[in-house]
Parts: sequence; C-alpha cells; structure tokens
Amino acid sequence: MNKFRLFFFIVLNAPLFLSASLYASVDINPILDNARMTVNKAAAKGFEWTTTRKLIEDAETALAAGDKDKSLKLAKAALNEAEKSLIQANYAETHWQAGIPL
Amino acid sequence: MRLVKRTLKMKSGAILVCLLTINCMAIADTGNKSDLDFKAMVQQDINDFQSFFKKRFSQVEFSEYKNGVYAIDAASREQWLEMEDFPPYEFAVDEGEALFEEPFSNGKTYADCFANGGEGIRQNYPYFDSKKSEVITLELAINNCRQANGEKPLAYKKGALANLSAYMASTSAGNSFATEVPSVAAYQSYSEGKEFFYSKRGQLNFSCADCHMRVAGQKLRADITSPALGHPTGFPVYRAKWEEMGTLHRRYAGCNKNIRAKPLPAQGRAYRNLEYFQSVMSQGLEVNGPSSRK
Repeated sequence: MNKFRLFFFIVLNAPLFLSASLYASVDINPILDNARMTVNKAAAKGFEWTTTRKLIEDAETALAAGDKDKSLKLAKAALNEAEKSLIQANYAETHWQAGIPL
Repeated sequence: MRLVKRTLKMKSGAILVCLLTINCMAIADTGNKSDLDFKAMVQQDINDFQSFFKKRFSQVEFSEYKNGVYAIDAASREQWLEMEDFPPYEFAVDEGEALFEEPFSNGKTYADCFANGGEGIRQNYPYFDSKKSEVITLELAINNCRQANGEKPLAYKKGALANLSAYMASTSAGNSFATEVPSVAAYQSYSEGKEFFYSKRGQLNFSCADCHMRVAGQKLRADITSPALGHPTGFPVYRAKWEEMGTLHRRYAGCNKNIRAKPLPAQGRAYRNLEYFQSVMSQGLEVNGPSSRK
C-alpha cells in the first residue's frame, strides 16, 4: 500500500520537480539585456519610468549575490515595466489626441 | 497624315503644360492655405482651452488664473494671501537684482543682452527663434547671455538662475503674455509641446491634462490640483515644499517624478516646447512672477 502511495506521489509531483529544475536553470542575463535595451528605447522617446532601472540594478545585485530566484523575479519585473513604457510611448505617438478633454 | 500627327503632338503638349500649370497653382495654394490654417488652429486651441476653464470654473475671472490654484480654492487662497504679506521670494528678487547688475569679467552686463535693458520683458518669453529654429525661454536666454560674454552657464532649476529670472519677472509685473506662433517651424515646436501636454506617461499613466484639466480643482492625495491655464505666469516661484526658489522646469521635473516618469532635462527641447505651448494657452494673462506656492 505504501509503495502504491509513493508511486502516485512521484507521478503527480513529477511536473512540479521538473519545472523547478527548469526555473533554476533559466539564464537571467538575456532577460536583463532585453530589459536594458527596451528601457533605452522608451527613454529615447522620453517615456522612461522612474522605477525600471532600479529593478534592473536590484536584479543585477541579487544575481551577483547568487540569489537567482530573486534576480529572476526582478529581471522579469524590469522587462515587464520596460515593455509597458515602450508600449505607452508608441501608443502616445499615435493616440495622444485622445487625451484632449475638450 | 503628318499634319494630323503634328496637331495631336501639339495638343498633347498643350494639355501637359496646362496640367503642370494647374499643379503648380495647387501647390502654391496649399502653401498659403497651410500658412493660414496653422494660425487659425492655434487660435482655435486657445479659444477651446480657455473656454474649458471658463465653463469648469464659471465663477472665476479670467485674470485670476495667473494665481494658480489660489484662483479656484478659497481656503488655499486665504493662506496664500497671508503668506504674501511677507513674500518669501523677496530675498531672491534682491539677490537677482544684485546679480543682474554685477558686470561680467568683460565689463558687460545682462542688460546688454536684452531688449529694454532686460526690464519689463518677461512676457516676451518664451518665443520662437526662427534663425536657430528653436524655442528660447528666459532662463535659456540668461545662460546664452552669460556664455556669449565668456561666463559659465548656471544650473537651470534653482539658485542664481532662478533668482535672476525672479528679478526680471518682477520688473514685468502686470504685463500680459502675448506668446505668438509666427511660422510653420514655430507651429512644429508648439505642436510638440501640445503633444507632450496631452500624452500619458509614467508608471501612473497620467498626462499633464489629466491632473490640470480633467481633475483640476480636485484633491490628489492632500493637494488640490491647479488649473493649467496660467501655469507659466507666476514662475519662478518660492515653493514651501522646496523651501527655496525654483524654475518652471524644476516644477515640470517634479510633476513627472510624481507620476513616476523619468524627468527630462531642464531647458531641453521637450520642456521648452511644453512651456511654449502653455504660454500660448495663457495668452492675455498678466505676469505675476515671482510668486509663492505650497
């Protein structure tokens, strides 16, 4: 009976263990590179957010300290912000007149 | 047969000449039309902008908008009037006057750079310089004057430059803003300023118009937002939060930070164009800088 339970435990949790190992092996540097490149594009259009470069710096600090989990979360947050600021800039270029409350 | 061919060739040539002439006339007409249109469009913008506030705050006299938020909020106005009994910007005006009169190392002074010796001219700034093809603000003109006389430029947001600007504004009190958009090139700068004003930016996704038009007069946290009409007229200002004088571009940077947008350089093209647009919208209001704000 115990062997049966152990078998089901392994089978049901296999995807969880697998994803955890994949998560740990994600290379953070390309995400950070992408975040830097994207925030620079938004900055060139005058739409950089004040918080994005701080997230990138914090991700770099965490990575240097060996805290991959924290670094990955911060790098993803930085990329997400950078992409949103660039979307905001591109949207403003074509839709700024929608903001005229007259 | 030859005669028919020649006639046909002559006819097609004549048609071609006619078409080219019509085309040229159309292009010339378009040029005049766009020249007329941009002035009409600016005037329409001014009418719409000022009407917006007249409708929004129907009890407020147009001339009162030079006083910022104190034009629309009675409680804040009362405190402000008490503060104005002993204006906190007076020292800055005195220091600005001393700096203004101090000769450069070549013996010249600021008065040599400006029309009317630099007195009573605040309302003429910003203006569009057609030779440089850019907007010139008073603060930029002050630093241009320094550099033309071999002096180092001053920092743009506060300190000596704000004091100089305060003194020059004080000599212009009561003069009305009449910022013009005189050319297509000027209209381009004006349009860039307009686009900045209405574009949402920052993590909070706010535009200047969101705070200073849509919710003007309402509370954002503890502060009541000021109407955009008349924004440039009172600058530079002594701001209680800063505990010192600051220029309009310092305030722009502060506004951008508040919505978590990275501020752009003071006296950079973007902020100068924004000041140009706001000054055009404030046409007819009096200079009342320097002044004090919360």
